[in-house]
Parts: sequence; C-alpha cells; structure tokens
Amino acid sequence: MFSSNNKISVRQIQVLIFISGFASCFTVLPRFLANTGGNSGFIIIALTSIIVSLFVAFCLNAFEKSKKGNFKNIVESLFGKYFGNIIYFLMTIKILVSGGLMLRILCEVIRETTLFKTHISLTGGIIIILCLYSLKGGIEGFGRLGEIIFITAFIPILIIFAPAVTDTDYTNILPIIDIKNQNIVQGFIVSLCIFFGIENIFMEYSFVNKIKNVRSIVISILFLGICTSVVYFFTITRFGAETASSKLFPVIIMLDTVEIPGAFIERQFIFVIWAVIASAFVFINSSFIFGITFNKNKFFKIIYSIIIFTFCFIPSNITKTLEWFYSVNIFGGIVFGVLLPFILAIYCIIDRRKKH
Amino acid sequence: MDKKLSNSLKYNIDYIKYIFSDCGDIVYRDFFAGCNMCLVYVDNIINNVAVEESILTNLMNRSDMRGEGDSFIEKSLLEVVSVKDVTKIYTFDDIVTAVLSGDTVILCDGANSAIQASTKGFPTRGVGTVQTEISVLGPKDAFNEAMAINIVLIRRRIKDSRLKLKRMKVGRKTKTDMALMYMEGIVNKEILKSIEKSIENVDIDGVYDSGYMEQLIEKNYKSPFPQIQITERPDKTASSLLSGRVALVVDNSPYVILLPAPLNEFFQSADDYYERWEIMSFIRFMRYIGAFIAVSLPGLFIALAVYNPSMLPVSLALKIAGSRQNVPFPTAAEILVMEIAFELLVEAGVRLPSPVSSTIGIAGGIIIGQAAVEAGIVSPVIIIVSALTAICTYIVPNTSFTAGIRIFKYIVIFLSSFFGLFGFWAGILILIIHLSSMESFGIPYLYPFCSSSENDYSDLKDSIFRLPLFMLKKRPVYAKRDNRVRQSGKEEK
Repeated sequence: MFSSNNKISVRQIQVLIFISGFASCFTVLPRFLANTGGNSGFIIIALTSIIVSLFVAFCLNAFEKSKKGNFKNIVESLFGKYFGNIIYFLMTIKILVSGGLMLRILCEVIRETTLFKTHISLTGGIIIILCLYSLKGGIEGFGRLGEIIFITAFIPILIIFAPAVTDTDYTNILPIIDIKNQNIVQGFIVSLCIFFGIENIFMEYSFVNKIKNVRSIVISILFLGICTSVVYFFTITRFGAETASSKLFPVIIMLDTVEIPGAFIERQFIFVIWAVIASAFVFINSSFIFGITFNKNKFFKIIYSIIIFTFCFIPSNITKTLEWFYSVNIFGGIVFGVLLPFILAIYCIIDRRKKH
Repeated sequence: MDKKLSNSLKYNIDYIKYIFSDCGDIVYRDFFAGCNMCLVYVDNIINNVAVEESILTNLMNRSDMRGEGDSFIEKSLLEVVSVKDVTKIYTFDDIVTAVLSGDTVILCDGANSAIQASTKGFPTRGVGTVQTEISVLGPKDAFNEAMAINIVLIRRRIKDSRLKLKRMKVGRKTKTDMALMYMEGIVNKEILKSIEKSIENVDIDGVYDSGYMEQLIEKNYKSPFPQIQITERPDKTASSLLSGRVALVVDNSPYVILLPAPLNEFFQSADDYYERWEIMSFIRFMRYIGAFIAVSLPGLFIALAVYNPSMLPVSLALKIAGSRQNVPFPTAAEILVMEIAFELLVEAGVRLPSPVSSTIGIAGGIIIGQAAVEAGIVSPVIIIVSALTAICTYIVPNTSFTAGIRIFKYIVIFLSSFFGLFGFWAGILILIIHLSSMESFGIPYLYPFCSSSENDYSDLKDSIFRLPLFMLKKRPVYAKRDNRVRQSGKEEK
C-alpha cells in the first residue's frame, strides 16, 4: 500500500508548483509585470525561472545533505525552538494573508465574469468551505487533487491556446528589448517574489516521499517559467504592454477572446474560468496545508479560515487588493522566500562541514 | 458453548436435542452397527444418497465391526465411512456448526468424539447465464448462490497451486461461509492483511448477500461511490486474481466481491479485453465522457441558459429561449422535475417483470414526455437534456457506480441553480475533492489518473484507453511490487 503515509510524490509536487504559479499568472502577474518589465517581461520571467531554479536547487541540496529533516526542523535548529516557531508562524501568516488576498482576487474574477449580482462573501465562503472539505484528504489528497486539476484544467487551456498563435498581432510586442522606460530590476523582483512562491516549494518539498529528486523540482520551475513566459508574450502581443497593465485580468480576457475556428461554444470562457477557479483554489488551499504544518489542531483550521476570510474582505476594492498582494508578496517573498532559505542553506552547509 | 462431548451416547443426544429444541427439521437416526450409533443431520439440506450409501449402508454391512469408544470412531473414519471429506470433532459447538452447514454427524456410544461427514446437498440452481454484466463475445456462465460452485468456476480458470483460499464465517447467527481467494506471490500482503482485518472486524448477526459485506467492510461509508466491486462473472474474477486483487466469495450470493476497487475498475467491462483494442478504447473513452455528461449536463445547461447565455452560439441561445417561451416554470425547476420523473420511472420499472416494465417505459418516456411538451409544461430542450443525461448515466458498466453519479448530479444542479457557472465548477470541484480523498484498501480511488508514477505510469495503458494486450506487460499497482511483470518471456516468480 502506498497511500495513507502523509507523503506526496515528486510528480505531485511538480504539478502543485505549476498550478500555484499559474494562479498568479492568470490573475496578477501580467499586470504587475507589464508595469515594470513592459515588452521584455517574458524574457524577465524566463531568466527569473532559471535563477529561481538554481537557487531552489542550491537550498534543497543543502537541506537534504544536512539531514535535519523538514524545513520547519531546520528553522528550529538554527533559531532555537522558541524563535524558530515565531519565524515559522510569521511565515505561515504571510502565506495565509497571500491566500486570503488571492481568494479576494478570485471572488472579483467571478463577480466580473459570471456572478454579477452575488456578494463576494458568498463565493468566498464557498471556496473556504471547499478548502476545509479538501483538508480531509490531507496532503496526499491534495497531491492527487493537483494531478486531476492539472489534467482537467490545463489540457483544455492548451487547446484554446493553440489558435492564439495565428490570432494575434505580433507588432504589439515591438520593441522586444525596451529598457528605456521600464524598471527591469523591479521586474525581476516582482517575478521572483510574486510568481514562483518559493517558500511554498520548500514547504511542499518536506512532504515528498522517499524518492526525493531535486532535479524534478528544477524542471518544474523551468517548465512553469517557459509556460508563463509564453502566456505573457501572447497577452502583450494581443493588448500591448500599456493596455495590459491597465486591464484587471488581461490573461483571462486574452484567453477568452481567442477565436477558435469551428467551436461549438461562442466563448471558451467556460474552460478558462475552470482553470482560474481550480488554480486559485490550489493556491488558497496551499495556505491551509502550510498552516497545518505549523499546527494540525482542528481549532487552528478554524483560525486559518478566519484569517483567510478576513484578509479577503479587508481591502475595499480590487485595486487595493492587488496593491496589498503586491506589498505582502514583495516584502514576504524577499524575507521568507529568498533571505530565510539562503541563511538556512548556508547554516546547513557550515554545520555539515563542522561535523565532518 | 465450547462444551466437550461425553462418553455417553444418550447424554450427547439429549444435549444436542436440548440445543436444537423445537427444531423439527433435525433428524436423529439411531442404529446398531457393532455398537449403538446415531446420525444427526438437517433434513433436506443433505445429500440423501451420500448418507444412505456412504454412511448407513457401509456401517451396517460391516459384520466385522465390533466394540465401542474412540477406537471404533477411528476405525469407522479410516475404513468404513466412504464420504470424500471426514473429520473428527470433539465439542458440541462443532456439532452444531457441522449439522447446520449440511454435514452429517456420526455419534457412537462410549466415544467422546464424533465424525463430521461432508454430505452437503443444498438445493441450488445450476450455473446460469450472466444477467447484469452481459458481454457479446466472452463466456456466458455466471456465479450462483452456492459458494462451492462459485469456487469451482474460478478454479476451472486458474489451474495453479498458488491460487489460495481461506475459509471464514461471518454473522453471529447466520454463520455465512466465505472464501477469501488470492494468488500467492502476486497479491500484495499488506492489502490482503488489511482486507482480512476488515472482514474479521465485522460483527453482525446475519450476512445474507455480498451486498451486506460490501457495505460492512468499505472504509468511506459516507461516499455514494462504491469502493468495492461486485461481479457475477467468473472470468472477470479470475483475471482480477491474476492482477493481484483479492476475491471474496460469499455463500448464498451470486456476486463475488473484488478488492481493491479504484474508480477505473468500474469503467471496465469483460468485453474490453475480448474485442479489438481500437474499438474498445473508443468505447472506454465514451464511457468516461458519458459519466462526465451524466454528472454535469443538467447543471451546465442551467448555468449557461440562465446565467451565461452569451457563451452559447446566438442561434442556439435563441432556439433555447424560443422553446421556453410559454413554459411557466424556471429552468432549474423544469430540469429537477424531469430528473426526478426519470428516477421514479427507473425505480418503477426495475423490479417489475419485463413486459410490465417496458409498458411503464413507454407510458413514462413517450406519452408523459410528449404530453408534457405539448401542454407547454416542459420545453423540448429539457427533454433532450434529461434523456441524454439518462442514457449517459447508464453507460458506465457498473450499477453501483451509477448511484454515485446520480447523487452528484443533483449537487451540481443545486449549485448551478444558485451560482451559475461558478456553482457548476464548484460542484465539479467538490466531486474531484471527494474522489481524490478516497481510497480503496490503500489504493487511491482515482488511480491511475493520479499517483500513477507508483507503477511507472504503466497502468495508464488500461485506463481511459485500452492499449493492445501485448503492451499491457505489467500487472496493476495492487500486485506485489516484485512480481508485476505479466508478459516478458521470463520465468515468473
């Protein structure tokens, strides 16, 4: 029997990294990146994915060789149990807040596209209930869910995407290397902190079963980078960088308006919204799963729901939500996604050398 | 009641009579054959010829048999009683179980033991034809209510000494015989142990059919989807055993339980392997599509027609709107009424003799359907949606699984009615979450669509599509890890 062991396979973590990344890609990334990276955004994403994959490989290899156990154990080993717990708790809060803001973004997408009159508290409540329901399957159920969502949501999107190659105006992307007015460095930071969810990768890797494989993680990050780069490229070719940065959800609009020759349905929005709901759901549910690694208690599950639900409603509108999402992820991403893992990796290397 | 037999025949008979007081069908046949003896059996469930010729005649014709006590029992056992299966028993508990199982107990004066002679002769019907899993090309024989016959039908197909059988009894009062069958060396011991434990944990007064066991041993009792497969086909059982699954044969039931049973197993039929792979792959694919349509079509129709008609081609949206012009009910109510009417029609027709059920089908399907449209109560599009849903519901070759589809269909309808396209996808998400969190004896329910890396993705070759038989080289993930090669030309372990 290979289930009921509270572990996931490397393939499952690859899929989860891909889907969580795509949740950002569908909703927030093109807008944020168009403001900073402009036409060159797709190159920035591709380059960032290479940097992220190298960084993740370096850290994961260091963690694995130190044999200190999972991410939480390493944090506790360096900072002591008390401070380690505080740092891990802050990291959990960052991820839960991100989840709450993503929930708000999803609710806004739904309100903009399908349920014009329904209050977002209802849609948000339903998503939270679904997340709580999915917790009964544990991390294993979540891994399996990711695989099924990958098959059902992303294969239709690929089919939709194919006609976009012909149905687009490539002159919009010119000039490709446009660094005059854009802040390329900021573009890198946006791409690095908001898009790849590096801290999630470290957390999820703690659950991988006995056949660990850092190379697979690197491949999935690169694959995600390539896919997102392509999506960004077609979004910009369709709208141009300026229009894309002013639209709320440019990728969704781009996918929805691609002409599919001979299609039965007038708009392929039905598949697009499934991909958006499913990927955002995986993103939000990751927050819960991460929270559970901090404390499995039933009481904490309720606390996590309240945090996510609260942060879903604190911002007064979608613009504020996106601003919050930007700030939380830039700050949190640098601290918990880059600095903390780097310090931990260096600590693991020094500690190992000392022992030898 | 683990009381031992005494040396006195009279005492033993009196005590058995006390246990079976007011049981008029228990026969006590006293006779003398070298010493005072008595046969105890239940009338009509024994094989009369065996009792008369192999026990009574043999004992009474042996003039050289003299004496009493255990030595006499021993001699009878070895030289006289010519029944194929005899054992020595020592307690009243064993006597009661033996008698009620259709065996004959031979008691002898002066002996504190008895002989249990296998003389089972239950009235059974012969090997019938398959009723619920009909195949066009495959074998037609089906299991029946006699466990012994069912075991024979399986053994006939697997002539291998590694086909093992463990007998057990379940039910405090019914003491229903069961046989747990598996292939030694192929079965995964952990799965086998888990199944055995589940069966041992059953504590109930009576088990009358495999359906009882199905519900008593499955882990996720809240799910409408079955986690245990039942079949009436011996060929399917044999092939499952060779795939590393475990079969539980339940006495008095014409269905054998197969474990574990992930979702993919419910979409397979015996014909899938008897006909060419191209057409069967296509049919298998259609079953999956059909199952999805059965769950989603009514809900999707509500979402698109009521909340997002702009997603439909203009001409189709206008046609739907036109057909609904004079209908007084909302779309969701129309769909619900038609779906419930269909459920009633199925329930009314399923247990009736075929001439009556076909009449009900005609009356319900054609007369009421057509009349409802003409009266303007229901729109014709709704009839098409309901009919298509009904056809797709029963395209899955397993009736237990269709129950899950039927229930989830209403969840999707309900959510779509209130939340449109978001509700529709939320319903589908609930279904996927539910199925992802389920397991069947340690195997993920959605295997091989998830976790298939566990068996190097080879199980995907026999999932949505059925690839050519020569390509199905490996056994499924249920089989023991080091014995999963089915075709390689190498000697099997």
